[in-house]
Amino acid sequence: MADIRLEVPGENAVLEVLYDGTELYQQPPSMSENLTQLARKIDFATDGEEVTTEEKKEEEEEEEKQPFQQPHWPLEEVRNKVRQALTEVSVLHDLLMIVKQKPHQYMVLDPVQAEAPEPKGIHTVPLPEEEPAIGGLHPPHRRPNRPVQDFHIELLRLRQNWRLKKVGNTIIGDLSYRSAGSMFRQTGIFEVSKADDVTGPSSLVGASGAASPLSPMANRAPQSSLRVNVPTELTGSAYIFVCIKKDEEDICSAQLTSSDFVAGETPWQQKLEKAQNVLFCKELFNQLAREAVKLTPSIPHLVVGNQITATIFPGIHLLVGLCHSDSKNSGPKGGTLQGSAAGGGGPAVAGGGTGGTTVGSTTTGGGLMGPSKYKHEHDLEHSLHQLLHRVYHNSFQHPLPHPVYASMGMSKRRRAAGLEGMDRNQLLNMMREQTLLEQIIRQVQHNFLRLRTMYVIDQLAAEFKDPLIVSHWNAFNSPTQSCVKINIVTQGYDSALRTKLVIHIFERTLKCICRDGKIMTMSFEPQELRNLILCQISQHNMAALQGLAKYTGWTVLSSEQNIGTGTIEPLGNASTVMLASPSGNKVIGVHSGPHQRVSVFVSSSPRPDFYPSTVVSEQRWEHLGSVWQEVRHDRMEGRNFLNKMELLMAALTA
Amino acid sequence: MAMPVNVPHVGENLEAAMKSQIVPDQEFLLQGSVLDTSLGVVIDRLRGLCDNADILPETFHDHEVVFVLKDFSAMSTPGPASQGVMLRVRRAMDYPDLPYQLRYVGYPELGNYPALLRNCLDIPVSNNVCEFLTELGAKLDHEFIAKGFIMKKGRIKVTVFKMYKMGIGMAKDNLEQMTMSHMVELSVLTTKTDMSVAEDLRALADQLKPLVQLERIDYRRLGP
Repeated sequence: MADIRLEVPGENAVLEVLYDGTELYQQPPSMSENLTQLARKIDFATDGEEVTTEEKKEEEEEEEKQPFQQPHWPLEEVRNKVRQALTEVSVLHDLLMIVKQKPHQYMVLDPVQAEAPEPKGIHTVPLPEEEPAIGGLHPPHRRPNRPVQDFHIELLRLRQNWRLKKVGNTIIGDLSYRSAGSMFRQTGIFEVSKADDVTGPSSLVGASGAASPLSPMANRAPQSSLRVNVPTELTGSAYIFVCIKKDEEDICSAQLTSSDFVAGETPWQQKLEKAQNVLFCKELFNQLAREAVKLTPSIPHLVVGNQITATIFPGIHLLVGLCHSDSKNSGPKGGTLQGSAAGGGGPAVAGGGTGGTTVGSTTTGGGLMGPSKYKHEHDLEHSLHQLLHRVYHNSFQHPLPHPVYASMGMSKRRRAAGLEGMDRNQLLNMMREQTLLEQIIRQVQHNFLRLRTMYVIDQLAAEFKDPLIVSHWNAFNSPTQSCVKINIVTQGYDSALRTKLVIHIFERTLKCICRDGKIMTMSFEPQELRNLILCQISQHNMAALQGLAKYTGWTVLSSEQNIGTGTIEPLGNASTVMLASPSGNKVIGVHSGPHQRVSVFVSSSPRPDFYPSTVVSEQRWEHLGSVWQEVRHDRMEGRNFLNKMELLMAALTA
Repeated sequence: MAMPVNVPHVGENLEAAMKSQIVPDQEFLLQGSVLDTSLGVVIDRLRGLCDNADILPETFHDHEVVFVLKDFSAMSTPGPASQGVMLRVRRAMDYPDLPYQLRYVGYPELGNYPALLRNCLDIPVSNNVCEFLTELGAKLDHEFIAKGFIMKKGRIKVTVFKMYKMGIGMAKDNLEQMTMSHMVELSVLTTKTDMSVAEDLRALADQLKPLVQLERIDYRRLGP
């Protein structure tokens, strides 16, 4: 190395000349001051030619401050050269270092703005060494002349979405939900490797994805330089199906429709998401199966293979199953194929078999069902997923202690339990939580009951055009409670009377609030609701007739809600109304029961005209009851019952 | 005729639990401090490390009153016996409906533990505990207000707080701060038999290394 000596000028600069001629010299700088001055001059970080304007300014300022130094320092050129050389050598050194290192060291050229020289842009990043903060790096990266140029970038993308760590020479990822609050034992470990080493145990993602009939997305996926290797039990696609069945015989059959909802951007993303979904479904089913065995309802739950059957109402069963199709063999896994059912059922199954993948269930022969009979309860499947997610959420969301000395992981009520002197029962009640299965059964019961109520009301509405039954369903409801408002009106006479009732639908019961404030609680049997509405229709007719009588001037002679005479109703009581014409010589009697059609009778005074005599001075003495004649009102003109009655009244008054 | 009823006493249960060492009465503690100017950085770092990174860290506002229970009439002899027992009562000022907490903190255990290990007992108490303690003969030693953030990572409780002086006529929002820095505490309650969690504590502390130096601070070496 060249030995460069720097010498200070012999005499000090003149600071000031006094009037008497004496010169004040600048004190010679001390050793350290001298060194700092020199060091300030040398700036190895910037290039000699391309000093930015700011630095130039600074230098100029410095020069102004120190007028004793010459503007062109004699050694400046030398300094520049030395500096440049040093920079180049250090760049070369860096490059050599990288080249010498093992292949997992790589170099990233980050573009730096504008005219920055190349040495400044070089950073060596030992990426896979100890999981560095990848978030700090940003594409674009350039790495020419290497076949696996995308591997690290893809690894980076992978790292942004999945948990990765390096064990030995392999990169291991975890797709389990454990970090999100899951307690499932099965591990979701996958391995990440480069696609170029052919000796690896797994096949290329792109290829395996293309082999799967489930994923059309994978067909167009480009060759990825990154390969993920998920355990075999998590390959393929899986989902939980929920259905409600009425019949006993096809209790144990199910079908699978292709549900490929994963839409990842890259093949490995797709594959990992699928695998994670499989893991999630497995955990969900595992949890449900454990609860099904533990719970002891009056009718025990049935766990067969990958199906859980629970009886929600007599004769109505809930079926929860785990469907898992292996992408490698498209055959069934633990169940009958769709085709075997088709053998018995003919064309009915064709619609369901479009996915053509597999059937994930356990049996058998006779039980075949058409697609119409067999329906996925998508909302229930969704709420099952939601329930498990909520379990995850709750396992992490313990309220934090206040004051901070309080112990962690306790609910607020539990902390106060000691103070409030809670007894054992209260504590136990506090601890009790509904299991997933119980919650889903409640939801299913409600769901079923709601649909059945809807069906009953719709049937009645279709059956009875007179009066009309209008139902309004509340759009906002909870998974276990909903509400419907029913209006019974007669067309054209809705101002005369509107019968309203509200039905609340719970899990196993219905609560009906009638117009008069009566509250009735009904069981899940549809007949009870039907009877109630029939009674309401009958009462509506009678009440509307009385309302109409007011408008037409007829007088209500009597009205009886529960009449004791006549044929006995199978349910409820018949009611009657007697109306008298304004002049009083005609009487209409109407009899109506929930299960009988309305019958109308007319009786008129024997003599239509009246001549006062000495014996009978007033007309009302002439109004003697005579024979009742039934009106065949179904033959009458008129749109509906009230219309006919109005016409009848008009005819009788005339 | 007397029925042979065998009802276990509550004390027996407690004793059995103590014997089998399942009562979490040991606390591992690491403490450090950070200047107010760097608080934001520490909070951000902790948010990334702790659970529930998606929500903002919860704040707390506690008032602590420390009582000393000892024989005040006795001659003051050097040694821990004369220092009496310190009982700390803490209440959450922002959650007035929650019970007060009474805490007893023992002396740090000797030994080479990764974190400060001490006996620690916490009990929720009703809000008349201060009168009760005074009746017992305890004397008020000092009181202060701690305000800050609380987070958790697994079983570890992470608190970042600042202490304020408590004085007469001091409004809730006008407190006199004691220092220009925040305390950072990592603590975890455990049993005598389960010491593995201390390593987790240490690991978390190491993650905060350049920002906060969390150490086991022995109070006996401090003070007069």
